[in-house]
Amino acid sequence: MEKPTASHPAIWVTHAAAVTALGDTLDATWNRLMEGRTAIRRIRRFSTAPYASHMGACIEDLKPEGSASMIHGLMDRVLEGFPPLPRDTLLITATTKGPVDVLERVCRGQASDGKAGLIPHFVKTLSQRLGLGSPGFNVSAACASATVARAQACGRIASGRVKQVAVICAEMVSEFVFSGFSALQILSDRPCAPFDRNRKGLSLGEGAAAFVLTAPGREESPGALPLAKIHGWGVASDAEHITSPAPDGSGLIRAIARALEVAGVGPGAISAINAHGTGTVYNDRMELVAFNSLFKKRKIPVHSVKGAVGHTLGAAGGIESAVSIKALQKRRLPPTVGLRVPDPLGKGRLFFEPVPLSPGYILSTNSGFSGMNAALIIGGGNLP
Amino acid sequence: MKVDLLGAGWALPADGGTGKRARAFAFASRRPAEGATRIRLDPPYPRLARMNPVSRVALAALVGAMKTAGLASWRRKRDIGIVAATRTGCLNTDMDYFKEILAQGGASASPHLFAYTLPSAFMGDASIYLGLVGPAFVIQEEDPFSLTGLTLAVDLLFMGDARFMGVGAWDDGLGGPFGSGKDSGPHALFMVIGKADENRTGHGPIQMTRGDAVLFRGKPVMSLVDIFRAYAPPFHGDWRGRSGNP
Repeated sequence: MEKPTASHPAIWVTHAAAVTALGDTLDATWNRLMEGRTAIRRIRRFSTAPYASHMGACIEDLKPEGSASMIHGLMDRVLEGFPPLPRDTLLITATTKGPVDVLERVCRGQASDGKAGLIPHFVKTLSQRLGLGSPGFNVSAACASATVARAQACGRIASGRVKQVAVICAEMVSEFVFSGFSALQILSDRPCAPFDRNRKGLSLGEGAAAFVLTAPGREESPGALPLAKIHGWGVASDAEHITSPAPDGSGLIRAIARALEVAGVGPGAISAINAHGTGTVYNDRMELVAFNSLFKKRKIPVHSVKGAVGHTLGAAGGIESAVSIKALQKRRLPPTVGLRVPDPLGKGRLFFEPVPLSPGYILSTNSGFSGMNAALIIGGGNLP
Repeated sequence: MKVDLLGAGWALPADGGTGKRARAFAFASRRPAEGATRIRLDPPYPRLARMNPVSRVALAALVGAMKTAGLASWRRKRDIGIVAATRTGCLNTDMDYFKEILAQGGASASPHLFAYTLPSAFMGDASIYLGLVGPAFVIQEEDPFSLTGLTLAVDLLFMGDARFMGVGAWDDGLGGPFGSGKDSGPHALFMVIGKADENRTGHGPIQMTRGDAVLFRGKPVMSLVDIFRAYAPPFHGDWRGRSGNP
């Protein structure tokens, strides 16, 4: 493993949790991922009759409570076991549509107060719930939101502005979003198959992830677990198209190169890639082009969790990094559920069963509409 | 940490400006969203007419700031990023989109309108029009005119993520169930900053202390609006009650 020459120390991850349609805990999600199971099935939350697909990964027993958004129920689950935090902890959330169910009810004439549907209101409520001294803010960067949010959290800590940041990522399956992706003709009519030669599009999913990121030196403080380190982070734009990625992967390559620079390592230090892997023709091709360009003939294993938990949009990077932290602990990488015939561009990189993880870092990437790309380089922690 | 203010632009339903000049692209209108349709860019941007009003307003303000900074023209994509803050995001577009779904059934959903329900959509247009490949993202907070976005942008500059940063705030100004009072219309302000450079003529230094206090031209400022008011006295639009508490 390369010795890092970073300009500043890595940021500690001292808490990581995830809730997905596969399970209410990171352990449950991990176990089912390793078994190759998928949570993508027929949606029952709303009628999908008018749409191009009927499939999604919903948390079946997640229901609205009174007039409150379902996102608060999601928060109840992901914050189970969340450690008490000092009041000066900064809160950064990541979501694209947040409490969108409230907006839907306002449009249907079923609610008159829409303020609870505004994302800043959600963030403030969450901050109060965590007992923090400032309201915090949400990062919205399409499907790269969660990774951009953690990159900014790391930047805040590295610049010395804060010692600790709570990052909460969440997204729900809603008719609002489902109808839009259906209109864009990128929903798969069967559970999505990332990096498969015959992939037909994405499957939407819902879930949440919660992290505590901590300045070096605080990882051993009471209640903190030195789970993993974020060594590098990078964010870059394509400047190419509003809804399609740059075919040459130039934006993603820039984001990864920046993350490597921050970490002070070269591509040789990366032992596995947790890719965005949505199952759309264009995204998966762009990613494989970028990985081939950066890692040349070195066959680093690449996987995506979206065939199992669906595409959780603004929360995707959070859930995926939580899985990566588990992979670093277990020294194994989950398979890409749904993959049957690997895309030839990913030859030697894609696999059907769990694989052992070589020593090194995991690169976790996300890309989104408006040509947004983000990358994190995650290393193991101090747990035995 | 010290940066230079290199350019500024703003757009209101009835007023707009770039640099120190007010009304450089005023689009007076009694109907809040109508003014946005009168925005023109030079050189033209073919997608402009397809953008939703609030995204057009945000793009116009950012382009104004880039022009004042002398950074609007380009041949090769540049290492310039954007941090933009908002409270209501694209709520008007959200409402239009979903009401259309309810009225005409889901099969009629407009993919184009859906793309502009993302608050970050205008950044895609801005990066394409201006050739920007640096980090770009939206932050959503109760007071989008606060200095949060500015401090994030300054950190990105000093960590080497970008050479220049566009930083600003924009909002739909939506009233009704999502705000208080009447719709105030889409509005935006943006500035461009770069690391302080003695060899460059900026429009004044912005200094950030360890305790997150911000000084513009040596005087404390509490919001982006404070900086604009100190920089361009013609900046006289009524920003109170728009979004947050400037």
